[in-house]
Amino acid sequence: MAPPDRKPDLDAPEKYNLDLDFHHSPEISVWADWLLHPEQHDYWRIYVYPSGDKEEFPRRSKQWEQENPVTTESVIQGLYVEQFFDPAQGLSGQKLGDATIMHLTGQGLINASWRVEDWSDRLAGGFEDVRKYWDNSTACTNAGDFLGAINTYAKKHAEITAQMAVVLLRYASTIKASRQRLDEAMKQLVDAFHTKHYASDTPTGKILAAAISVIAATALTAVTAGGSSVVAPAVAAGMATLVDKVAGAALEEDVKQEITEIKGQSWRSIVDSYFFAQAEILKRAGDEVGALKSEITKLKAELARLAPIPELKVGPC
Amino acid sequence: MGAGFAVAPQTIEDYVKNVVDKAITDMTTTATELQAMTHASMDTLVGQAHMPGSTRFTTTSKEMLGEFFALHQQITAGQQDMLNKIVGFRDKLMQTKDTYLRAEDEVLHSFRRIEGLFGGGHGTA
Repeated sequence: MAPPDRKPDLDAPEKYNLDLDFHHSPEISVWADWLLHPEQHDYWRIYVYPSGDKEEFPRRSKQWEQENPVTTESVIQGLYVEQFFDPAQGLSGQKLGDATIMHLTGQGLINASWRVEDWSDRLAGGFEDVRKYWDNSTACTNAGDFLGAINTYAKKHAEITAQMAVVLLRYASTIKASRQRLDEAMKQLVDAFHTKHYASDTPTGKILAAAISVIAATALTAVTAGGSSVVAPAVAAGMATLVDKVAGAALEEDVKQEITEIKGQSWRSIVDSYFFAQAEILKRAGDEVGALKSEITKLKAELARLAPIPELKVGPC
Repeated sequence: MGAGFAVAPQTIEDYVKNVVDKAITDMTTTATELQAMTHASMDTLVGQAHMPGSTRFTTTSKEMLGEFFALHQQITAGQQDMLNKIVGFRDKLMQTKDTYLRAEDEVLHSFRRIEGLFGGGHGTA
């Protein structure tokens, strides 16, 4: 519901570049604009006395204004509508569904992992018989060492590509779960505005954070079926399904991850509690992305330590 | 060279056809898929930054994804190297198989000539 005599700002998602997962921007946009412009209506405002004291009034009082040397300001003076969407903007733009770059990259890495795993053992094992021939012939070769190196190299590649797919899935799931929690925070802000204005009551509502810590283990299981290199059936369903599954696990585990409550006597305190909640949700998402960066650094170091494949030599002894 | 004939030529052929060629096919597909990914637009992965709060998150995301794609390129190059090496291995294997076959032909020819000398029914001149 919008403020009196106003309609939700349906252009808000486009105006503020917000992902479609954020459903409440039209209402927040119009509420924030309405609260920022008391000169456009006769409802909530702050009267500032010459002493500097401020008082929040639910209605304009022309008589009070005439009898007292007050100036009028917004109940959320100094804020901007954009501030209500800042973290949401950070979590917008990333395409997480099927047939996206995220999907293609993740799927390509998962495919690379299981394909390499599939042929590397057979390549080395199948060569055993051939090796007998070469060992007993006049040919001298390092084919055994060569295939051994290929096998080691391939297995490490399979491991790293699977881990990279896990990183991408963790990134996508973190964004998805954080979007959902932020969307809930936005919904509670709208509810708080309604309660404050229409029910003249003090709003209160708990904000939970997605249990981001759960995402790492769930993503690993989803990609590698618990650490082995067997691709889990869920992988075949596509990236979007995987992201929903992993993000869903994080959201199910978030009951102890309470951040704050959207509450307050004044409009400003309500808005501040929302700002704190949205900043905290984005901070936790950012911490996870920072952890993923460290994970990538570790994988790069592992790859750098991998010995190169030797050149194959076959020729007369 | 007799001891070297413990393995029939067909074994090499089967190995190449069923194992090595299969690996090459898989690796070629993988290399194609991975190379396509290195051209991925980061913009669709990073998100947006319009204000200080989102800027920090977006910067961290850009850094992480920058590292991710650097590693991705290394992996892609490594996979390509592995593919090239296995193709080289296949070529050597096939060359060796041909050498082996020529050797066997010569031995078989000699045996048959000896059989002919001693009056066997399958001699070939």
